[in-house]
Amino acid sequence: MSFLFSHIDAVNHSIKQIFKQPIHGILNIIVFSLSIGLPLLFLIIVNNVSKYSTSLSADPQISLFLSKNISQNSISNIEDILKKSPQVSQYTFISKQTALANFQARDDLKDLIMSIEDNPLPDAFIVKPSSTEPKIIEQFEKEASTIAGVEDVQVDSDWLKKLHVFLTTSRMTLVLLTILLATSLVVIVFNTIRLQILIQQKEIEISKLIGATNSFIRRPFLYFGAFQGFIGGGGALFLNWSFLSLFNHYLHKLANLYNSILVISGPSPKQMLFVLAIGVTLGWMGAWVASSKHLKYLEYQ
Amino acid sequence: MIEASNITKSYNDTNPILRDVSFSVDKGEMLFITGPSGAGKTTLLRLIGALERPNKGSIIIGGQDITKMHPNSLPFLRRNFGLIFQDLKLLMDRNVFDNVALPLFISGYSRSEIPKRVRAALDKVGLMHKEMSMPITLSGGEQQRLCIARAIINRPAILLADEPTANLDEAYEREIIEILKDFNRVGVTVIMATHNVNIVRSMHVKNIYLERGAIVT
Repeated sequence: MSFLFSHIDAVNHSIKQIFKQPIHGILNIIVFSLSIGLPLLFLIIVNNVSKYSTSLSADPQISLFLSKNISQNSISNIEDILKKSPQVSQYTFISKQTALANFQARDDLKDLIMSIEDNPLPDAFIVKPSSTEPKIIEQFEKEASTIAGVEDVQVDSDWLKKLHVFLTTSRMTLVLLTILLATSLVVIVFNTIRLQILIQQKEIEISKLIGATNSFIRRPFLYFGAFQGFIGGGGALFLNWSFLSLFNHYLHKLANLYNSILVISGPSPKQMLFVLAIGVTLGWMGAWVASSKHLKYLEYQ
Repeated sequence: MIEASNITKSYNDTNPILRDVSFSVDKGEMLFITGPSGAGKTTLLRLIGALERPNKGSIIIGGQDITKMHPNSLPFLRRNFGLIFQDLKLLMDRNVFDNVALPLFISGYSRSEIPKRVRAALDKVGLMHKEMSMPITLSGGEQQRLCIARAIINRPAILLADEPTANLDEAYEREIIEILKDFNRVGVTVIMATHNVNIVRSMHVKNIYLERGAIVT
């Protein structure tokens, strides 16, 4: 019970400390919100682009053009290989006759096709890969070109590669940005708590002399740091929500012009909880470092 | 109850503050540590109160050598001592009640128990009516009594008082000594450091005299 009272007192004390210096507290919370909010916004944008790219690349296709005089047997063999390949999600065989018929059906090419006596088109397999990962597609391209009877393999994945490189670079930048801002957050909390400790230095010293344990002294500071982190996390979510609401409004107008729907979706409830947890953890960490550093000076010599 | 053997304390190798100090205090006894300024009285009290560790020697309290205790156990040991500091160490931004209640908060007393104990302690030192006053508004003697109230709030077995009458006039000095004697009468072991030998002369209690860190017989 006394343990619980001690925690309740620590919570009360830390809340009082926040309201004791409101301007300082608000400034800190703004810095917290920006430090957590910026990487969060970046993460949301990267995730949305990534999600959008997945839907765009839902039907990237690889065309396997077969030798001109290929036998029916060889076509069956190639079909077997494609059927067994884990890199293939689905495939369609387009015979040279079908391909010609498709061309003939097109008004713009009708005259040109009619003027050709022989069918110049090869038989082909149109393959949908099981993954849009450039590495897997490249590997399949290599393997497919070695299959007997396959004359040429065409992959239209250059744009996909570029997009993947862009997303990978963005994610890496996001990680670095997050590390930088998280470090700065810990430093900010450290400094805030250090100032708090200096203000309460006498109380800490007296408490220590009359039997306070390090955890008793540290507890209000840890709560103080954690509260600031929590409010900062909430602030970061609010900033993101405000930004996305505004951004989506204009994006919607733009997308309407192209008869399309584009919306940047915000963090999920799980991600929101994660943001709050990150805020609390970083605030708590900064407070721990600052209070431990100070308590070290007061240790029994 | 307290047995100090060959205590040496030094902050540098050349000039020890205490040299081979040995003495013992029985339970419920009153001991005066006297000597001129810089003799090592405060350091000796800090060593007994487990606020510092000696370089050499042992301090056995209740059968336990406190110099060998793990630092994590020391806060709990300190709660058994009532400490009266020379510089009072009062929280000037807290009222009398909060100052006295601090050790109870640290020890984890319940909210219902704290006011009762605080008022009882304030009553004992005659500060009941000053409960809501800020320490800055109190006289020197009252501040010293506030310090005593805080020291006795945990009902300690040992009271360590470092120059509790320094900077007080004769009337206040007598008042403080009487309060300490009262606690001693009810079985509290009192160890008091003072440079004022007149106080010791007026009382027939055990006394050790320190000079340059050593006991002079």
